[in-house]
Amino acid sequence: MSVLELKDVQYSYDKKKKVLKDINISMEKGKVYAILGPSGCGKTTLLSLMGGLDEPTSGAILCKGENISKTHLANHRKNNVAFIFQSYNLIDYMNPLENANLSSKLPALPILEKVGLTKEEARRNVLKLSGGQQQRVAIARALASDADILLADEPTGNLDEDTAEGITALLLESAHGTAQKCVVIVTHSNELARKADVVFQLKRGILQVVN
Amino acid sequence: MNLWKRAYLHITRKKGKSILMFCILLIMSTLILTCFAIQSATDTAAFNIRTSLKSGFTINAKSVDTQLEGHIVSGIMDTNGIAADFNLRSYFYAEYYSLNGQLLDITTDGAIEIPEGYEHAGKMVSNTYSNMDTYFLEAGFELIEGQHITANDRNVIIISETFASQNGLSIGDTLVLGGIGETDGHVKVEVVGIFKATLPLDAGVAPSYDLYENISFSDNETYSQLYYHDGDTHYQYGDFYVDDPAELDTILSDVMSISGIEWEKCIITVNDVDYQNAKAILETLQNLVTLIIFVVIGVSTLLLALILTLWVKNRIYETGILLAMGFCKRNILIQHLMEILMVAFVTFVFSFLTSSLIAQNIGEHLLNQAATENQVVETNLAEGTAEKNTETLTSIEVTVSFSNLLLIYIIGTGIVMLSILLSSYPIMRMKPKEILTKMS
Repeated sequence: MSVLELKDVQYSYDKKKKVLKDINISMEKGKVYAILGPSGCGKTTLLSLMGGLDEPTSGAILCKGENISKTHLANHRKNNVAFIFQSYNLIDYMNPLENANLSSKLPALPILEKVGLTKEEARRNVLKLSGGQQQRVAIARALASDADILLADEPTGNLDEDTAEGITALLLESAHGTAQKCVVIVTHSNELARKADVVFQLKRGILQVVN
Repeated sequence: MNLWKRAYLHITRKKGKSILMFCILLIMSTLILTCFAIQSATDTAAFNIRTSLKSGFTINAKSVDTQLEGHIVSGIMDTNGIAADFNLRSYFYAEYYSLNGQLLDITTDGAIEIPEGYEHAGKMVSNTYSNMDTYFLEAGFELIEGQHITANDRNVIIISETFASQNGLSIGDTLVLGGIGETDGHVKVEVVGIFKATLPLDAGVAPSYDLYENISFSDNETYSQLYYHDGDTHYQYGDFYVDDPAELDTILSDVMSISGIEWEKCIITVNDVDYQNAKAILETLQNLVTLIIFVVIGVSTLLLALILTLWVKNRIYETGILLAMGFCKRNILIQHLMEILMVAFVTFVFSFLTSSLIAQNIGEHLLNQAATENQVVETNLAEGTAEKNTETLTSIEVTVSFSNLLLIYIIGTGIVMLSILLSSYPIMRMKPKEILTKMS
């Protein structure tokens, strides 16, 4: 069943040049979607539209059948989606547990432990954690929010190969495991894309399915 | 996580910022609280001065045929705002006789002339209360024996030390006063007091009857019996006082609406110089304090807004994260507001202590400044008035009250809210994606 649907979505910054042209896709729970494309092609913009951080110039984005513009973007962000950023985006005056608790609907500590943090690490200053640990906290925060859709923007971009593998595994587990999330990953990594269920290529504003 | 917990975590984890904000708010609130305390003190001082300084008016009805009569005086005393104390007086001349009809001696040494018919006469001043007479208040007369004349006294006299020794008179003796001119009245009076003049004659030279040694004080009944014989009591002058000098004009117009006297023939003199001088200082002080309050509030708001603008810019990262997580802008704005208010509410309590310590010093400094400014202006007008200014208000009691503290909570909250709105406006009008773009 489709959890997120984009219908004739177009987007332009200055109403002259279209960054996104007639995007029509449908995404389901339990699947990992990868979006590939060269830098500046509009991948992050597409992710922002899916996450309700911005509105399309034309077209509609439906989440569980409802137009997110009509149900308020903030509600969509709060209830349906969770972001995972390349730079982790943790709040520096909160420890991992507090970060994960920010918008949690599920108990955060077990999730932190599940993504690989000890109880002690869960209460440590976030800035004293490694990059991989910080990204794990970001994933835990996304999972704790119990959103159906995880939107990850270059989640392994700042990580070494081994750590990136661990993070990728967590994202795949989120979709294929019991959580059955719809995971959308914007990435440059072909390695990561190969593990996705569906791979899209964004080129000159047009989104095409690659596999 | 609700905004209260986020705000609490921010305050407790970002200790440096919280301490800096505490210091800024402490300086700001101490200054404002001090100004409020000084303003309250000036209001109290103004009230105290108004009630303590004798202000009023004098009615000179000498040119009115019947002069001031008892029922008119009663009408004036019944007017709202008139104080209980008053003095009614008249000036006349009388010959001094002994009980057996012999004319008594007066001093003639130093007189420029001894007018015909006044060889044994002196100036008489009748008073309701002789201690309120200007001779005793301003000309250096001192009662050295006996007692002053009061409202209940009838046919009594206070004579000079010299006149008493010249004629062998002492307290309890009786003499006779004789009217001069068309009247042939004679009144027996008892000596109840003896005075001496401690200063030389004001005018330097005078006719015999005006020499200080020949002046006597009596009651108003004596004056009326000597010159009117109609059973009523007459007065040439009435000195009346008011409870509140600020109401003097209104009271005066009420008094002048009393019928039964030819007001156009009366001269009314307002006596509120002391009050006006004190008022000038207080008004200058109040204006200074009001100006400082406005400046401090304005500067505090701008300074706080400027600092918070820098802080909010630094927190754009956090704002972006929270927006991405579905927190609305209002929720984030209230969190920022709560963070400052939590610090502010603690700070305001401390400002109560700090302002209590410095308020008195600042208050006195401002008072001196107000007095100096006023003195300069007054000196240009009249040197004597300027001297009086500094005498009327030389100290001010400044204390910080709980009502001042309550006021600082209200105004401080207003300043913080305004500063937060001003500083957050540029960020809050941005779309979440713009904020996240700025983050990256």
